[in-house]
Amino acid sequence: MEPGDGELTPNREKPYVAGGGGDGDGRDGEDRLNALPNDILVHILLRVGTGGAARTSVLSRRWRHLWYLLPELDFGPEADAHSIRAALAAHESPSLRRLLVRAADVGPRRIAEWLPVAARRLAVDLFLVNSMKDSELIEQGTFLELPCFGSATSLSLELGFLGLAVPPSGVFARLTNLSICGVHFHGPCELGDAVSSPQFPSLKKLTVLSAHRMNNFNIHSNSLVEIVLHGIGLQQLNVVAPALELLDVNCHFSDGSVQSQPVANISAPKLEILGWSTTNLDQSSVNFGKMSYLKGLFIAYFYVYGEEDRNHDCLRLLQHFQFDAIPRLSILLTYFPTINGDIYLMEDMTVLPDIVFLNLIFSSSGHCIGPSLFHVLRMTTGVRRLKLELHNHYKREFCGSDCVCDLPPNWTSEELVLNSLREVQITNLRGTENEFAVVERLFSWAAVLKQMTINFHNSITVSTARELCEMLLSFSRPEISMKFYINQGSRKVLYVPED
Amino acid sequence: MAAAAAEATIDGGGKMIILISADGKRFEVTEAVASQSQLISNMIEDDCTENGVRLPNVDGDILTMVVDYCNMHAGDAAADGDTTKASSTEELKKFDAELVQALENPVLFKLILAANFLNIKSLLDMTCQRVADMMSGKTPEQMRETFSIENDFTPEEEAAIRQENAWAFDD
Repeated sequence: MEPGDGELTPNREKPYVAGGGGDGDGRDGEDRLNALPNDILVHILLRVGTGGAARTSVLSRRWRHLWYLLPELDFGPEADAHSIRAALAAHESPSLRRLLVRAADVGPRRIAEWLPVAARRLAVDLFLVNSMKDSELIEQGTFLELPCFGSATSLSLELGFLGLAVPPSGVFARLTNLSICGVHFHGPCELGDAVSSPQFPSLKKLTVLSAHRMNNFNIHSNSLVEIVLHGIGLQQLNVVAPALELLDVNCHFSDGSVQSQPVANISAPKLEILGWSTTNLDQSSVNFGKMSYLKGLFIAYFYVYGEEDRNHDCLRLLQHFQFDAIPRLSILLTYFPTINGDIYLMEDMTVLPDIVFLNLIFSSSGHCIGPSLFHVLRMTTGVRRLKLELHNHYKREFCGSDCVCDLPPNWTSEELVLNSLREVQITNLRGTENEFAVVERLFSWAAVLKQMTINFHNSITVSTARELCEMLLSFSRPEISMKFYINQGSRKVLYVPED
Repeated sequence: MAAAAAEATIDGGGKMIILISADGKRFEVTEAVASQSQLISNMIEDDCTENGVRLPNVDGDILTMVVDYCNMHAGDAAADGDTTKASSTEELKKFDAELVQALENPVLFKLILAANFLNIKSLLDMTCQRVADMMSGKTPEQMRETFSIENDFTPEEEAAIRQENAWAFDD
């Protein structure tokens, strides 16, 4: 650097980006925070948080209304409904792009104080989380009426099982994402009917989790791409969605007082991913329509042991898809902690679709997964990739010496030829005796295996990983590329065992 | 611009451009370094940096800091490797922390104005975060003292505003 004459000038056409208010001329105040232009002060206030920003209103006249310009507002439980309403009413930012309200034990009437104002002001996202610790606080029969959000693009409501009524009219013109968790729906307008109508012309993703009184869910939407329904009690599910790519249903069906039998009709010809886990739904009452583009089928809760007929819905679903070629199949195989006295149910699984990539998720409760894995692999000998996810929520390594989980013993003695299997990935390996026995068998069944990736459980430290790798490598063959990952903090890192 | 990028050397080289501060100090930097300023990046694209870029709102001492910052961060945008960068990311964080911690208020505010004018998002975010950190957890009285803000409300007015936003003052 050197002092120059400074006679050069920049392009005059170019607009400068400095914000309004604090231009360079007024030199006297320039070294003070007050001298910064509003847009920079708002940028700072955004980082202070909404409560802190509101406190600055008392600093001086200059600061009095600055926080009304915040494009994002985040109210914690300390902000009462009246304050939220006042802040939203006074809000001056040209667009409120995000409103987050974290309420606690708040009833419908309090939320209704500010929600309609938000509906008018909000341009982008609303997140409302109402954590209900005491459901006694909800007045019986009260419910929240959802106002029409004409310009918001995303609504996420966690209501702590308040009542919610969907408006019978009003267009949510720009809404692409609607997520509702923990509600009792109140009629007369059904959510399915609402999102089917021209009221939600842009809706792409609908998520409903833990909703009561849904009963019938009838959707006919040309815009929806994703539908996720979890933890909902239903009598009828009817979906007609020509653009739908993902449907994930995890619901309990029940006989209604009027309807004779629960039914599900799905017409989604573009569907790529289907997650289907239902109870009490007879397959004869399910119609899946044509799904020529199905890439993945995800099935939850196949019980390895249990009482007869436990896997009824699941088995019917597998039968339905048995003649289809679906690239990816994922099944969650689950074990109760105590299985002695229960029936071994794997033999009921007799057909699977034609698949390339098999993903088995085991919720093992410490039981040996060898028999159930062997059973599934015996039916899918053409599989090219196998992914095993091992979960054990009971945090015990072994189920006890008298447990029958390693029966039937055919998986240790019978041969199995998996001549297409190239790639195996095992996640959450802890290195128990049971697990090693399974991995050793896998190596012998997969004669042309090229790659095995092991992601150790997060309890595995570097020093234990070394021992485990040594054992795993002793089962392996030179042509197989072995990769090991361990968890450090929240990161997954490659572990290279030393020679 | 495409040709310059093709010729760029390992140290992020390519063409050099001259930045001129309000008080006439000149700084020679590579295009890669200067392009972290969106303002200058646009000027480079429009081919109007040949005679130097005059920055009439930025003093030499502030521009020195900006250039130091941009020199330190020049590798950032280009770096796509993750694990190999780990150590230098740590160094950068340390450099940034030391840079903003050490600043007296008036200099910090001038640096914010410069970052805003030059449109260097990461520097603006970092310096604004520093001010936000200085505000957090402070009472209004402490904030006024820290930032030399004169209270021009009458006590009645102040009480009314506190009342209006009572939720924010309950701790």
